[in-house]
Amino acid sequence: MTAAPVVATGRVVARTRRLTRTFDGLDALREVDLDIPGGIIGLVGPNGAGKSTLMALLLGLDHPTSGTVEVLGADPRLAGPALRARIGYAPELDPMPPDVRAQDLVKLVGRLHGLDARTATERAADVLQRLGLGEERFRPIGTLSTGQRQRVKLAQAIVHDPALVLLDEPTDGLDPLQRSEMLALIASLAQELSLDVLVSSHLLADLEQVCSRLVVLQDGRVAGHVDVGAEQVEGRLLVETVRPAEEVVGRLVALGATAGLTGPTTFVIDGDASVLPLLRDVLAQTGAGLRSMGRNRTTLEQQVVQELGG
Amino acid sequence: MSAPPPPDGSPVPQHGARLADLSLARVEVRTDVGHAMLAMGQHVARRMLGLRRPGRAKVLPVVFAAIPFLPAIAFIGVAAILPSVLAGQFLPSPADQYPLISVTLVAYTALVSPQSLSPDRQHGTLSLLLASQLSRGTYLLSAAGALMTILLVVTVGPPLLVALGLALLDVPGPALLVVLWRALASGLLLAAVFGALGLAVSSLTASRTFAAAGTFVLLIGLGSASTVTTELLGWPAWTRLADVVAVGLESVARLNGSTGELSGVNGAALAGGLLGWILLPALLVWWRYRGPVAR
Repeated sequence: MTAAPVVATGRVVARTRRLTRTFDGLDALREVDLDIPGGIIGLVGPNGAGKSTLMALLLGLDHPTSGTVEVLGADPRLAGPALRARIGYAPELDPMPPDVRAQDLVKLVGRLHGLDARTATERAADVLQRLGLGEERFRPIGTLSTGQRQRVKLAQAIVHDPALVLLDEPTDGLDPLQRSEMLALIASLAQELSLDVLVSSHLLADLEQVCSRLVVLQDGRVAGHVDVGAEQVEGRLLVETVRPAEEVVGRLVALGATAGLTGPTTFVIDGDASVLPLLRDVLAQTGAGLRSMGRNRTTLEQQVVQELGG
Repeated sequence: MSAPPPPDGSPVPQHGARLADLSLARVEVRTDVGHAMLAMGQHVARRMLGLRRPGRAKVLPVVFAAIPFLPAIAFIGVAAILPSVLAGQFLPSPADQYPLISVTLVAYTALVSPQSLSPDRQHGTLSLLLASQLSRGTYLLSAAGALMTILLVVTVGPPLLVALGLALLDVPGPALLVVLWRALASGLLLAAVFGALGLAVSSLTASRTFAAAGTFVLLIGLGSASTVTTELLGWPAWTRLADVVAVGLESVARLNGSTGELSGVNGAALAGGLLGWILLPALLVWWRYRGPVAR
């Protein structure tokens, strides 16, 4: 984790410098310096942190009070339609007319992005089919389930084959299974279509599943960023034993490992795969029994919370 | 009958089987704002007319559009029966249809025009639409174009129908080209006035009920008030310019060589009033959409 400014070393799809947006005297974004690299990047932060404002500025739907924005090498204010033709956007909430058929809406958005009528029709059908909406695509959006509507929203964002997709809370309103499916779809589409994706969410676990890097926003400022991949390699192991783990932890610490109890039968141990032989031996010696073991999923959350000043 | 298996033991081809390839092909987009505006305009027009929507959404637009067409068809039918000299004397001229057309225009302003802009704000679709090649300005122009096109069908259609019908039946009257020009100019003028008004109403509220109530109060209220103030209180004639329906009808009456209720208002004042009724609602729409798009 590093402090702002967040500067990517590889390909940059969006860049802001001293970006400030003020509404009625209140700063929604304050002097944000950000380089958003390619891949799937997460935007995380509490409500009101400035995530949606940042997306609106990247799209050119809103203009900065001061500072600069560059997306795909162009200024959204100046490039206008030519730039927006290369960007897909799925706003938060449910921004779709309930009386319009899914197929018609996706086709309309395709045409608005520059597809001719025939291509837009075919592409809308293909994209909706790809996202698992077969016959449902001919139903009015208002009659679809929340999960299906989120897929329609995703479909309209990629119908014109954009280079960059901005997804604002794409798992909003979904149950855990639907969230997993949606995230898997986003990941597979990003790979299949070579898409760069900026996805915002207040659910860290969601972003962790698909993102290679997280940008943490708070109070309109970049609080830091987290490299999710590195986090998983370096993270702690969370171990659950069948019987009490107190003795296991005691022995591990005595042998030089950094470990600590988190519950009667759970503990964490720092380190990567190299600690596994030691752990195996101690578990065998104490007879505590191993119920489960995995990366300590709270570590990322703890670091983000730490960045947020929690 | 199935084919015999190949001698080398390779699998038998299964006819009718196909690969389910759901991967997406690449597509090319072109930067063409005009194309995007056309698509948006078609979408707005369909929405206002209730096309590709449940049947009940089509009832009001169709019924009110039919109102001025039915008498026009009846006139032509009567003209076909009457001797042409009698028809020329007793049948209404194309210009006489505007009061009836204004009924449809008021109904459209109150009940159909709100569908031009308000649903996009109501459902939060605006941000999704403006993330495309459309800007706020081109989005509004697309909606205005769609509304104007629909209103033009209502304002130009019936007089044009009557003019052509009477000309085909050799009913005596002004030269056809003059009648056609007047019908087109009058239709454009009325469509501009009520189109601007309809967009303004649609920009103010997302509720069809509020839009309808507000429009009726505005049109009927202002009309009644201006009539009362001039006729009962003796206010100057130009105060009748507050009555948009009267301003529209007076303008087309003068275009067609006659006068109406506002005969006491001079031409310059009438032109000013007409321009005001087009520009002020248009400015109101622009003001309503000037800020950042939140949704």
